[in-house]
Amino acid sequence: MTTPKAKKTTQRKNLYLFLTIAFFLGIIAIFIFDGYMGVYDTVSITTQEREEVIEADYWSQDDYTGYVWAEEGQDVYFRYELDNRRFSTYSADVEVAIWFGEAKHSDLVSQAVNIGGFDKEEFSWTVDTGLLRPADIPETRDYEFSVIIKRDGVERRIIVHVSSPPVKF
Amino acid sequence: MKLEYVLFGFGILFCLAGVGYLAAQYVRYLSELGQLISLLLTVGLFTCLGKYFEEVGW
Repeated sequence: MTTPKAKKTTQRKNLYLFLTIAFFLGIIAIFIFDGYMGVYDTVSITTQEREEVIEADYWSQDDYTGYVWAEEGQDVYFRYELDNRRFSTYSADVEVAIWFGEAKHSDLVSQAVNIGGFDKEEFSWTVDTGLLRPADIPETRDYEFSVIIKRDGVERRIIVHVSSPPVKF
Repeated sequence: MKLEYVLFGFGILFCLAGVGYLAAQYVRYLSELGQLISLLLTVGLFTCLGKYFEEVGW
């Protein structure tokens, strides 16, 4: 038969074990909850029949750059989705522009956004690769340009490689 | 008998090192508030674990 003192000791021991497990589960819950919360952006790029989706996970890698290939004259369709997984409203200025190296070529989107808690906003634009060839690059050579998305100190860069049209004999 | 304890010790050490490494990798992606709460919960966890072993008689 167990004495009241021994019973109390066992209860206290079980309580500490229970609390240890509870704290551990709390840490796991924080990891899952905190990982879900935040502002996430996804870029979808369509050229011809192929759609490439750059998820928010990729952007979290340091200096991640997206790459897309297109043939000259093709349109490249971009869709940019901002997902506000927070309780508060997310406000920012979204700017999208085409860059050749360090020189800005043209603006594609310039808009202020106010996204409510757990809401999304989507932008889309089209780039006509037939109109962008720099004058100093001959028609037989491929060229590249960058589409840079800026918002709230965050920069996303997508490099578009444009293949020159096949030479006709 | 003693060798078993040494092996148990190594096993526990490797488990803790593995969990610690994974946590260190993941904690970089947590917000500052999340990191603070995780730290407090970790302190609570080890305090209660220590008290548990104290009650057990270690």
